[in-house]
Amino acid sequence: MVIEMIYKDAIIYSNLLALASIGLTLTYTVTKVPNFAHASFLTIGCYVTLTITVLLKLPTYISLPIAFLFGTIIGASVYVLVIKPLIKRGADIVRLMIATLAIDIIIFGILNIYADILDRLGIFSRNFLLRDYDFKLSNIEGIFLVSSLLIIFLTLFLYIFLYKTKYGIAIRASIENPSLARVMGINVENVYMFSWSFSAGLASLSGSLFPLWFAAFPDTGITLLPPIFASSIVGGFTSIFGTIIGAYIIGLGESLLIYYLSLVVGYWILAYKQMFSVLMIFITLLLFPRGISGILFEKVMKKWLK
Amino acid sequence: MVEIIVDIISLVSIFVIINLSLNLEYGYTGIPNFGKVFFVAAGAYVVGALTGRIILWIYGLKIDFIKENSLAVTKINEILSNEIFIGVLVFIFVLTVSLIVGALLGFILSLPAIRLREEYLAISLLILGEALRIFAYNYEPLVGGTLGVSVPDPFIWVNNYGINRFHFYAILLVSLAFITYFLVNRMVNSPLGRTLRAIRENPLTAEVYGKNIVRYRMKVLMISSALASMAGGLYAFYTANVIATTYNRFDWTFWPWLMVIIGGLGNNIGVTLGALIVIVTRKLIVIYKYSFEKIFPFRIEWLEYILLGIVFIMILIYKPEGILKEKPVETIPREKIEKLRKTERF
Repeated sequence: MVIEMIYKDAIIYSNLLALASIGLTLTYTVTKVPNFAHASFLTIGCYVTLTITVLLKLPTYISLPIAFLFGTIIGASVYVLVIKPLIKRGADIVRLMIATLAIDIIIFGILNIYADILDRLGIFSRNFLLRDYDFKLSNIEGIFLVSSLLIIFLTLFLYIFLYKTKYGIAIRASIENPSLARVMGINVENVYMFSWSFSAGLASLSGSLFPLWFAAFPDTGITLLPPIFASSIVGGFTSIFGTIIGAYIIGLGESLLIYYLSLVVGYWILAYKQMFSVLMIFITLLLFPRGISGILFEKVMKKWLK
Repeated sequence: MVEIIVDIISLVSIFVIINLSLNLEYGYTGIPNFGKVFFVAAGAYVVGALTGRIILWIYGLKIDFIKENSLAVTKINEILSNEIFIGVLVFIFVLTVSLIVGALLGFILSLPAIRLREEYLAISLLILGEALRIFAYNYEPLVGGTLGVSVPDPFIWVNNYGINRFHFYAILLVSLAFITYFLVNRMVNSPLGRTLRAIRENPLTAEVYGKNIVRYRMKVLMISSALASMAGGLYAFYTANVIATTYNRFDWTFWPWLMVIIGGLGNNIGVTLGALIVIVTRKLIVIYKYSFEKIFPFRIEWLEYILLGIVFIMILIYKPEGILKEKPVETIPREKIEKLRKTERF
């Protein structure tokens, strides 16, 4: 029974990680900015769920579309208010990265203010866990089903969207060569804005599921930053499908590998769970800088050529 | 009021050292170090872990420094209040160790740092800072894990002469900041400084002119990491306490970047000014905190985060070069060069 719980935990964690890190990869490939505020978009989702379920007492899963919408609005406004003016004024990548750090700190401040206000209203807003608000199908928790279905659906959707629709082709064109895409009549600014809002939306969606299984607090984003970046980097940082695989490597590794290791070397190792993602980042950057997508692609190509 | 000014002076001095090291890295050489907290924390942990243990070892006291921390520190402070020589010696020794550890870490990290692109370097340093915090928070033998450790005060004897401890530290920190400022300023206005700027502007051209960029970057990372580590150690001595949660990326990565960008990249006076502006603003907010807190239904420090974040973004957008612009390199006047030539020192 305990073993089963650990598998469930690992899969839910990986699902949420995949949902969150897709957006990081998308913003990086499209606008070439590693967004350090990305994990804070996830925390926003956590608080949307808290507001909907506890404050407004509405059904839990209503929070999914609302968190997604809220996330897209925030992502779009971040792009319009901060990133776009900076790119326009020719800011280099370092300045853009610092700007995302500043956004992170602003979001952190706002979330803490909101948490303080909720506290005043008598709602437990730090370290909250909403497992009781989830539904259960015989023995399986709702979040397990929903998050798994979401990932399958999203992978299919992204595949069809990026490779089969005109807008998807426009996005890929602006990634490959922005100036040429502009010449061909693609509104590149529009694509940038879409990528920022869509990825913030996904992170927020992932965050809205988070408190249904894990305890959430205003620092959730800060603690999840290493695994989210690790998923993207292990996945190659430029490939969305690589990122999904990367998220499962990080998520399952962090939960299952460390768990089985703890049976051998002792439970003390569980405290250093997060070091796994740090290690993976360094191993990937030093040994396979192109990540999973690079390795897989080369192998597939070799097989095809033979 | 005096306490606040003394506190501001000490904090500004510590941050001036950190900012100078960041300026050396990014402002002059173009290495974006987003993991400043890593080096600062390393220095602080050296101080937290070593100072007490060394003195316990010198006097042969059998007290566990981590488990019986308050007892150990009280005992040590009792001893040190009469031992001026040992106190100063331990202070210098521990600070030197933190410098060496910082330089060593800078050296180790420069190996991947030279190979990685800007954004990957920034990500890995930022994540590394987080990793060190997680490690120190969980690994008790280092600095006491979740509870932290108290650091014995090597200058506790100043009380015997009727000097306030904090006043003494303010003077000490200011003088160390001045020395650092002087040395860094000399460095960036020397041929080395010009080479660094050339590397920042165009690494390829610098390489064509026969400069070994890899070694220059390595040197800069070592020196600036050592400085940051020293600053962390000084902060640990100043607050007489080390706990892993203090060394987070907001306080020790974000604030130095904010100060450096506000003051002006590549300008040492600007960087100092930046530290002064940000710290005075933060202190003012802290002072008026209680009167604000009656109006707002939340803790005021969150508002401080939001305001400074917004100010930072505004500056990045509207005044990216900061208050003081980078000045051209100071070169020796022509007459002086000719004089030198006559004395045949060339």
